[in-house]
Amino acid sequence: MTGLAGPDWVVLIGMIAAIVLYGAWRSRGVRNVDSYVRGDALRWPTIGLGIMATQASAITFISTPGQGFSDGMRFVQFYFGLPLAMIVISAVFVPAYHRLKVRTAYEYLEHRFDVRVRLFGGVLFLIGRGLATGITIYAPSIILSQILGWPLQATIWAIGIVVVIYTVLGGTRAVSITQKQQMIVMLAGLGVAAIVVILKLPDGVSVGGAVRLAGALGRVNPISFDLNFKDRYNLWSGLIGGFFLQLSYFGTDQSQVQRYLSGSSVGESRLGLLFNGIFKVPMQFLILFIGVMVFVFYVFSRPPAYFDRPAMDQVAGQHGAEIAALTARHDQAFVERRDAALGFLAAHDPKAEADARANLAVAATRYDDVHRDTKKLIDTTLATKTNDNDYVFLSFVLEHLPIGLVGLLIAVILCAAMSAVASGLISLGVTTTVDFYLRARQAFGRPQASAMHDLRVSQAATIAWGVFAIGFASAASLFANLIEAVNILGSIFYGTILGLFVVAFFVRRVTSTPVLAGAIVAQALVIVLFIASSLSFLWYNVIGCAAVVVVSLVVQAFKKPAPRIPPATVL
Amino acid sequence: MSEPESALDEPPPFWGRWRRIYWVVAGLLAAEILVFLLLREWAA
Repeated sequence: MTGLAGPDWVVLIGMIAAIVLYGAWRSRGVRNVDSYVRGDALRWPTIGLGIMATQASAITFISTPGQGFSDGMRFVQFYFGLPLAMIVISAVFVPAYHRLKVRTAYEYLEHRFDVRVRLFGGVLFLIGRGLATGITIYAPSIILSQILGWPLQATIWAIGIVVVIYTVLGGTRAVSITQKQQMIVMLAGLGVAAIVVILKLPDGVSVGGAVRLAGALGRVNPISFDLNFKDRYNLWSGLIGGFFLQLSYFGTDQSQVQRYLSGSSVGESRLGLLFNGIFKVPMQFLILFIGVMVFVFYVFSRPPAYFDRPAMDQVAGQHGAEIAALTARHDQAFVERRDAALGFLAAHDPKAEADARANLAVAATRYDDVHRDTKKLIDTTLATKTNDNDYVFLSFVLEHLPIGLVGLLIAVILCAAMSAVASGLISLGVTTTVDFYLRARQAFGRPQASAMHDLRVSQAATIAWGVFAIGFASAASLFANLIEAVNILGSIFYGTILGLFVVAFFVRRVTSTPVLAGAIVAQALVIVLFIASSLSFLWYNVIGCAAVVVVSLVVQAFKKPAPRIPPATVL
Repeated sequence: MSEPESALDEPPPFWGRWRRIYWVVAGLLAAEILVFLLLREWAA
C-alpha cells in the first residue's frame, strides 16, 4: 500500500498540530472544576459542530463510504429519527438540565428520584462509554496502521496521548473548541472528496448517468417502506428505533449532554442541537453518496481484487495459485461488468435499455461471485472475518487523490477519531468526579475541598480513563469477537438509561424504587433478547425504554404512596 | 432566549416559543424523505 508523500505529511501534521495548539491556547487558564466541566458559556455554532464532531468518529469516514460502495444509500435511514429526537431534547431535556444547573445528566436523576437511580444510570454510562471509547481509538488505528504501514500500537498510543493531553489541560472548553475546527476540516474534506470522485468519472459518464448506473446496480436505495424487524435499515426502524436510540444518545449520554450543557443559555443549547438536526441527514447522505460514486468509479477503473491488501498479501503467501486464479477471474469479470455498464449508459430506447439492464445484472452478479469467493478464501485462511468495505475509501484516497489532498483526507479521519475520543474521555472523567467522587464526599460528610483539589481529581479521572481506553484499544486485537459485542453494548444499555429519563420527565407519579425495579427488569430483558433473539439492535432501545416505563408503572401501582422527598442539594 | 424559571415538578411546556423552529426541522426531514423517494424512483 502506498505511503504518504512529503506534502501530505506537511498538511496532515500541520492541521492536527494547529487545531490542538489553538484549542490549548484558547482554553488556557482552567483553574477550577466548574470551568473544566462546563467549558464556560459557548455559542451555538461551537455547540452544534461539537455535537456533530462527537458523533462522527473516524469509522464514519472509513466505513460509511464503504457501506455506500457495497450496500448503497440505505444506511441514511438510520438517521431519520435524529431530527425528531433533537426537537424533543430541545423542548424537554435542555430546559430541565439548565434549570437545575446540573453538570451531568445523571445528577438530574437524583433530583427527580434518589441517589441510587443516579448511580445506576452513571454506572451503565461508564461501562458502555468506557469500552466504546477504547474501540473509538482501536477501530481506525487498525485500518490506518495497515493501510499506511504504521505500527498498530504506535498509532493507538499516538492518537490516545495527544487527545489525553489537550483534554486534560483544557477541559470541556478545549474539547469544544478543537471539535469546532475538526468538524470544519471534516466538512471541507468531504466536499473535496465529493468533487474529486465526480471529476474522476470517465469521459462521457455524467453525474446523472453515474446515479442511473448506481441505481441499476442497486445502490440508490435511500428509502425502504418494508416493515421488517430483522432489517436494520428501513424507514420504520430509522424513524422509530432510530428516534429512541438518538434520544437516548443525545439526551442521556454524558459525552453529548456535556456539549450542550456548556451553552451560555437554553437558547444557545437548543440552536446547537437543532443545527445538528438539520445537517446530520444531509451529511450522512453526502458520505454515502461519495461511497456510491467511488463504486461507479471502480466500475470503469479496475479495482484490486480485494481492497484489504495486507490480508490478501498474507493469504497469497500460502495460496498463491488460488489467489492468482481468483485475480484472473476478477479481471475478466471487471471487463464484462464495465462493458455491460457502457452498454447500459448507451441504451436509449426502452427495449434496448431493458436488455442492457439484464446484461448488467448478470455481469454484476458474476463480479460479486468472484469477490465472495475471494473473501471466503481469505477469511478461511486467516480464520477471521475480514471487512473489505472498510478499506475501499482509504484505498481510493491513497491511490487516486492528488498529493496534498491525501494528507487532508487522512487529517479528516484523524480529526474524527480525536474529536470522538476527546468527548468520551472528558465525559467519563466528569461523571466519575461529579457523580461518584464528589457525591461520595458529600455522603460521607467530608468537608468541601479546594477548587484546585477538585480540578486535579477531574484531570486525574480523565487521565485514568484515557489509560483505560488506550489499554483496551491495545489489547482489543486479541479479542476480535469482543469488538462486535462492544459495539452493540451501547444499544443494550441505551434503552434502559432512556427509560429512566422518560419516566423522570413524563411519568411524574412514579417514584425511585419502582423506577429502579423497572430499570433492572428492562436491562435483564434486553440482555436476554440480545442473547436469544435475532432482533435488529435498533429495537433494543425501544423495548428497553418501554420496559422501564411499563414495569415501573406496575410496581408503582402496588406500592403504597409515599410523600415526595425533597430533592437533594445540588453538588 | 432564556427560559422562565418554573418548579421542578412542572414539566416544561413542550412547544412554547420555539414551535416554528421545530416545525422547520421536522418539515426539512419530511422534504428529505420525499427527495430520497423521488431519487430512488428516478434511478430505478
